[in-house]
Amino acid sequence: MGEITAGLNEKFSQYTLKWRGGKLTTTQYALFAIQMAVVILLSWLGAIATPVVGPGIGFLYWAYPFFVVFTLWWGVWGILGAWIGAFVGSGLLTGLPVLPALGFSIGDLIPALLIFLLYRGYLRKHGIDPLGRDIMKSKKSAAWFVIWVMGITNIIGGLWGVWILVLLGFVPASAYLLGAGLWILGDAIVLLIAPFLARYVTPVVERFGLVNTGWVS
Amino acid sequence: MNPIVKFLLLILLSVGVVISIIRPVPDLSYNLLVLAFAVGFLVESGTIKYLVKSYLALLVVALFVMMTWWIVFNQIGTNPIFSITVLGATLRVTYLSIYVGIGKISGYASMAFMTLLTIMSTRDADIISALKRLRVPFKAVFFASLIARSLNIMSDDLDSIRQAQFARGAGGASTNILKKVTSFVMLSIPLTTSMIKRSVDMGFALESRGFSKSKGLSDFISEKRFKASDAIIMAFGAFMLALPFI
Repeated sequence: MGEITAGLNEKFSQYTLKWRGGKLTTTQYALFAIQMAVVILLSWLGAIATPVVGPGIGFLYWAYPFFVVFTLWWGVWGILGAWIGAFVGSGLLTGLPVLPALGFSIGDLIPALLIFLLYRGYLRKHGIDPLGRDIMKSKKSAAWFVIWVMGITNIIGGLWGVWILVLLGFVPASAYLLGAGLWILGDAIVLLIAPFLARYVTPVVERFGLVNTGWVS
Repeated sequence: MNPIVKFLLLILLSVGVVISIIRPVPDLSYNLLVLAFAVGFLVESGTIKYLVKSYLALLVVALFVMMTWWIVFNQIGTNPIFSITVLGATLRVTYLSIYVGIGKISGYASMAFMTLLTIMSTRDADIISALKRLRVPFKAVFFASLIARSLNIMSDDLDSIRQAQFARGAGGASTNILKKVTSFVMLSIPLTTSMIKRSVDMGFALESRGFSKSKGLSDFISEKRFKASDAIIMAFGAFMLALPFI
């Protein structure tokens, strides 16, 4: 058993929590900018197409599974994408002003950061693919995805985002739990897309040599 | 108008409106005043027609949803206009709850119009020029410009993928949430792969023009400098921010 665990650890050993702030290639530079544009676009579509509760909150927030997978692939750039996507896409572009949008978008930054920390830190050492390719194949990996990604981090993000809107007078205080509940439920539904993306697109990204082995590159 | 001044004005007015709407009873007259200014600026800049064409329907839905939440979940006031009991819970609509709801949505509408006005009337080149003036490093400025320019490209790609899938009988306007998610899975994989392909192409194109060795952006033909009219606009913003405290 010890040998099996050691083998799995070795298999994923290149994906770590080391900073690796080396020079980016021009392709990576372009890729990180374009992925942020995609997250902004999908955040805007999600917030505009199915508005619930208050400004910037869409029930089906299509950007969520994307930034989760982008974070697993690209570390700090995926996390920044989650934040900028929410700030610009579901914030500024839906008419939310700068300051509320800044506070509200932290509701997406925190989950992305926590997901990266767990997958590249603890889970990698316990034989779970840090890029999420095994979510559809392994029960253990699926359970972690449900508990951590669809559950805990999603709940933290939902509670934070709606709390900021309540604080700034956009959402009535008595609707806080229902609003956060709708946010969390909607995100959990769209997160079902993430395992498909991780399984079928990760090999393509890896083949191009575009997966980050540390936080930055 | 100088883009930095535009963003500062947006922040000042937004803070003013937030101060107004965080009160238990929002300052409706202040919100309507900011809304009137926003509409005035929209008309003057000629962006009103784009807003009506691309955003108005979406904004009306968002405002309606917001108003409904405020009426349902903010049970205040003593003189009900309308009252209904469903499953033991009583919903009362009072003059005060309607007033608060209108105060909230007028505040949000004014901020939405101001934000959309700023975004619609500011070109990518203006943002890049402003960032350059603020001495933001070249690579960061170029990164921001790449994001702004990729938005339209990726939007077109997303549209092309959707049209191609509709042509093959996939997707459609289903109201079933799980069907929507399933159809989005089919959309998400080509979207991600097209994003990667575009990045690789763009990376090669940039590198073939010596991007990694370049030290700065070439100068713009026209740059919006800070003028006296910008100072007046800033003074107006400061006055509007002070108004809720008076």
